[in-house]
Amino acid sequence: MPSAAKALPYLFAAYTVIWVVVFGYTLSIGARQRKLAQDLELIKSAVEKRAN
Amino acid sequence: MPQQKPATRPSAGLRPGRGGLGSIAVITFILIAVAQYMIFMYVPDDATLGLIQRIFYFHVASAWNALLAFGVVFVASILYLAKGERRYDALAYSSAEIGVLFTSLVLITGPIWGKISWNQWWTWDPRLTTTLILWFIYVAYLLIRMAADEPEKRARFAAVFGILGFIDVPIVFFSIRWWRTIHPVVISWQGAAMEKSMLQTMIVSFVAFSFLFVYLLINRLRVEAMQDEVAQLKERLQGTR
Repeated sequence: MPSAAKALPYLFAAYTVIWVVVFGYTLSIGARQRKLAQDLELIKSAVEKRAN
Repeated sequence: MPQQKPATRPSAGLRPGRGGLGSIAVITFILIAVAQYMIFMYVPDDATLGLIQRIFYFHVASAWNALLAFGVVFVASILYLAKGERRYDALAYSSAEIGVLFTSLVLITGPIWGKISWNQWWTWDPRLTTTLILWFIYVAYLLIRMAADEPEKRARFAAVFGILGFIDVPIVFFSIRWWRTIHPVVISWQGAAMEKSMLQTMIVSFVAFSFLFVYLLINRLRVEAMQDEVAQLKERLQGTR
């Protein structure tokens, strides 16, 4: 059986990678949503101005 | 052949309210916290592999999410070709992106486990090779979507690719049964070959990751719906000029 002392850094690395990737992706989706919400507001106000 | 709906049509019916998403987020967080507790505090060390075997729970759950995501791509692609509705194209695209994310996690955590268990990062074992091919197929799917200019052509081409690409999914699953392999066979037709607490931890990890998949998919679909709305408003703005 591989020793716990040898395995621990690898176990730590594996779970760190999982959480960094999942959180990074979640944050990137949130950033895309915020950017699109800003774009929507700008375009909506431009459409309203043109309609008036 | 059904009439194609405009590709910029908002992805109606795939944009859930904030309340539902908040509940899914809370359930996902709790389930993942419980799964992490079970992995590090509840389940015993594996008799053969020791501490490193604890990677297995989220590694297998990531693989499950990848197969689930590509299954959604497959079904949504068929529905898009049958009905021509933009929402199915948005669903396939969103799910493919999440599938690539989880396949990447499988391909990263597997070699970390392999370095300790097999004393090497990578080997051209059937399971590892077919999983790498699966990753390349769906990365190509995402690249094709970025390359094609005309939206309807892009959606149709992607749908065909999404259906054909799914052929590799059962090959990945059955590779460890069809060919000689050094990859562990944990779940077989005879059931799961593991101790009771390990099986409980694996089931909780599977459920937690399934919720994580749903949470990410709904959020990703929201991005598609917002992009459609922006495109539609831009068209309206240009039309009034």
